[in-house]
Amino acid sequence: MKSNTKKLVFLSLLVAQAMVLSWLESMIPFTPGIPGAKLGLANIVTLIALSTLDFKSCLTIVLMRTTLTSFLFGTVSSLLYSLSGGLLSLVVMALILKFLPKSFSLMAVSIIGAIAHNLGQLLMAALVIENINILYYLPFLMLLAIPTGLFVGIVTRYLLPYLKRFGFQFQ
Amino acid sequence: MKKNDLILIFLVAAIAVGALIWMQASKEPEADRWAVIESYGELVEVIPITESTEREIRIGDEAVYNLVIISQGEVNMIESDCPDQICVETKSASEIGDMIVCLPHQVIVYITDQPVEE
Repeated sequence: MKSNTKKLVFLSLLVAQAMVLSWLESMIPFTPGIPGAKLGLANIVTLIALSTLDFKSCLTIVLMRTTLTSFLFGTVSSLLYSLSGGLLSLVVMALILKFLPKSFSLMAVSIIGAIAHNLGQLLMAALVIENINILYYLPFLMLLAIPTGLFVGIVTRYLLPYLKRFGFQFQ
Repeated sequence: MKKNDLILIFLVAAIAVGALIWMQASKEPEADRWAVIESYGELVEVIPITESTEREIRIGDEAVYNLVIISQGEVNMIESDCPDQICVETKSASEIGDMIVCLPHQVIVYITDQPVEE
């Protein structure tokens, strides 16, 4: 029972932190004129969740943070984009960590997750505006995903040992 | 950093740069150009672009709007009341395949060499 409470608190903390990171990110002027280009700080939380929790809890975190963030800072259409991007990136990263756990470090997983996020958003945007040509932005977003993904991966790698030392490991 | 990571980063960069080069190469600068404006998946206007085309197009209504200017062979989104302003910051479109998107208002402006039926 004790560990269940601890897990619940950890889960809520991660959701709250992801929301704060999304808000913080919207304060940083980083707008290269490409739809979907962003730092992706909230991905730090998804990566930590994938490394410490079971998949169902990760899914809960992603669903809660995208919904809450969109309601607080975004619009209904931004909910569609962050859901499609967040879910695709979560699933892709989870698959890599499950089936190729030793092949890649967290940095590479984070880069792939960033690209999956971009792809999910662009596919949703293509559906919404009914024009597949919007995928034209993907190569630019892929290039951007390398530095942003690396940054997110490095932050996660340095943060994880501290969390594990305090017993936040539920896998 | 593992060896696989570097291979992955290199692959991602190579695919992206390759795609950009391919997109650049498949453009035909000599062809006739049209600017197509769509809103909510519906065609709003098709405008043939020449060096002398001077047009100002307002999309939307009193509540939400996008202002597009065609001048000196370039199409630019100069004003919008959308929350993210990405469309306004996008650089002007002049070559075939160039595109300006305003996702919040679901407005898309692109340049094509295909005559689109209005």
